[in-house]
Amino acid sequence: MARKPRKKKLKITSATIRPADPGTATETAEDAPAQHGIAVDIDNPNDTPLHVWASPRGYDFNSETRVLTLYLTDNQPDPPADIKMISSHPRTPSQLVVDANGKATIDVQVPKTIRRRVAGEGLSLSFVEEPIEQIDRIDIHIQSAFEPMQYVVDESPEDHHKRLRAHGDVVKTTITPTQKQE
Amino acid sequence: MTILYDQSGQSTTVFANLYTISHEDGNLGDAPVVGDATAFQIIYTGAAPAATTPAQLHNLVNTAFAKLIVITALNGGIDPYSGIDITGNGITYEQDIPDVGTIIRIVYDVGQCNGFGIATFDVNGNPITTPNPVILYHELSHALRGAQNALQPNDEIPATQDENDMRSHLGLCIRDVNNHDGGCGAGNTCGGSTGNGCFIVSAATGSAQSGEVMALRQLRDRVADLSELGARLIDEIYGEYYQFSPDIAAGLEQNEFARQIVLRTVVGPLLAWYSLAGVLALGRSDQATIDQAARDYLDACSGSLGGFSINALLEALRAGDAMPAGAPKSLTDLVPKIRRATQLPLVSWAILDPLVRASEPKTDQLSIIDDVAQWLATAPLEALAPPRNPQRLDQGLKGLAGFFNFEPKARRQIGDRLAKAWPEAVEALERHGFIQQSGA
Repeated sequence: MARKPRKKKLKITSATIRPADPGTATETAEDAPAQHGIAVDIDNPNDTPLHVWASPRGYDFNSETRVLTLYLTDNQPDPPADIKMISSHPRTPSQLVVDANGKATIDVQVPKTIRRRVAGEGLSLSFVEEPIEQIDRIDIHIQSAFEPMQYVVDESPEDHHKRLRAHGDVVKTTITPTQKQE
Repeated sequence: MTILYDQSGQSTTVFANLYTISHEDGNLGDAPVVGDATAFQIIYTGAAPAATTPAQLHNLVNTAFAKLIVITALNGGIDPYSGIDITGNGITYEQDIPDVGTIIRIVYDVGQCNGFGIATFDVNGNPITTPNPVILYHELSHALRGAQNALQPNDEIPATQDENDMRSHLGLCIRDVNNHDGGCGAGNTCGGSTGNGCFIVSAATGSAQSGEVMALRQLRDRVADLSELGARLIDEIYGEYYQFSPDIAAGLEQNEFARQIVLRTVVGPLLAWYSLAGVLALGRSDQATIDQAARDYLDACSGSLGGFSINALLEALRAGDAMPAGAPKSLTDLVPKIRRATQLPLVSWAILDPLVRASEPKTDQLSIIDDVAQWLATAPLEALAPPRNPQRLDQGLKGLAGFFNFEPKARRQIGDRLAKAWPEAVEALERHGFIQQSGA
């Protein structure tokens, strides 16, 4: 009986901050918040192709340490205790297939500002927008698996979310990015 | 008081989306919240509507639930309270606030995934477009059951069933109620509308699906097909239009006489003007089509209203002067609301300027065509940032250049202004005949 190959961890080898790719967005993209373009280089050390989360699922920025945290995984911190989710619509991520022993680059767009909750009066969201700038390091979390993560029709959002979190595994690397000038 | 909308974020879009959900029936309004300057309260007057989505909204607004619902529209990015990235998504959650109790928050991405669009799936697994009013209505469905303490084990099913009512109204593709996946990307519209509300025209004609409203939507779609820049300008104009039009539309709903005046002096001439501009600028129309559009325009224009010169009334509005004594009361009642519109530069160009031109005496067809050319030449495109991608800039200007084939002189007029406002676009402007650089 053939044994399932043991998975070696995906390697995150470098990250480059470069001008955002304007892509093919429709006209409203011109009004969209300005974005950082971040290219993340990865290596698959396995003899089997890997399906790698390629769309950002969240981000954070610490303006004191200047560390940008980038989540290409559904394994992220839970919402604060005062919040009870009714509906968050988990989404199947876009995935990049990295060939056996192959390399690939994931292009990620991250806004140049982040909203930060602040104390305020009234019932509206109270927040400030802080710039994401002078990034010294990027804390990158990437999820990957030998099998693609696929949506199952009829699955409840709760089950979908559980499956998203449990699929494959997550590597975390803190890396000093290189910069490409605009 | 049940539904509030957040003044931070894209508050105008929230109201516009709710207006679409109400079928633009003119009964939706808002009011300040006593002691809370951060939010506005939604008001929905009149009897419960018969149609499904307005009825549900009416119920939400007018039922005293124990939990308030607060709606926030953001341009993608992180929801600062839950920490969730809402790009390409909408979320609903309960938040416990000391001394207030539990409120229900809806936070949704009205930036449509940074302009890439938001797609969900039909029963065949094909991606379908999911515009902002549809997203908001889906989240309101969750919020309703949250407020009633009646959430289902899989609450996506009833929310998607409700969402499909909104889709049916807009003529959009129907979503698979058992497929809750989605994400960023374009999707099929099935020929439906994405819900840009033509509030005043809907109120004046009595329906959001009237021939006049549909004609305006078709014109917008034709411009969008030909020129991304033109489409963006229209979207910006809608942004200003939302700031004042629901108020006027609500006023019209209460006054049949005012509706008839607006229909005759505003909607008719404007539609004829836009149609003529479309015939001249958007295609290769034959002379007979141009002649007919010009005749329709002349027929729609009226120089006077109850013995008053419309031109004088419009100029007084634009200048901020008092209305002439004896002007129709149904019009003077609307003046404070209309005056707000005259202060908005894009609306002033798109609506007031054509109306003033329509109210001036016409001599011949040539002068009308010249009028349209002059109007197009003053389109406030410099209010937009030029596309950052050189290829898109080039395509956008190429599409725009075609609008002026009937009068190249007007192309150069707008070109001179754009060259000053967009210095990085000079080469592309020259390439498409907007300017001629010295020495070239």
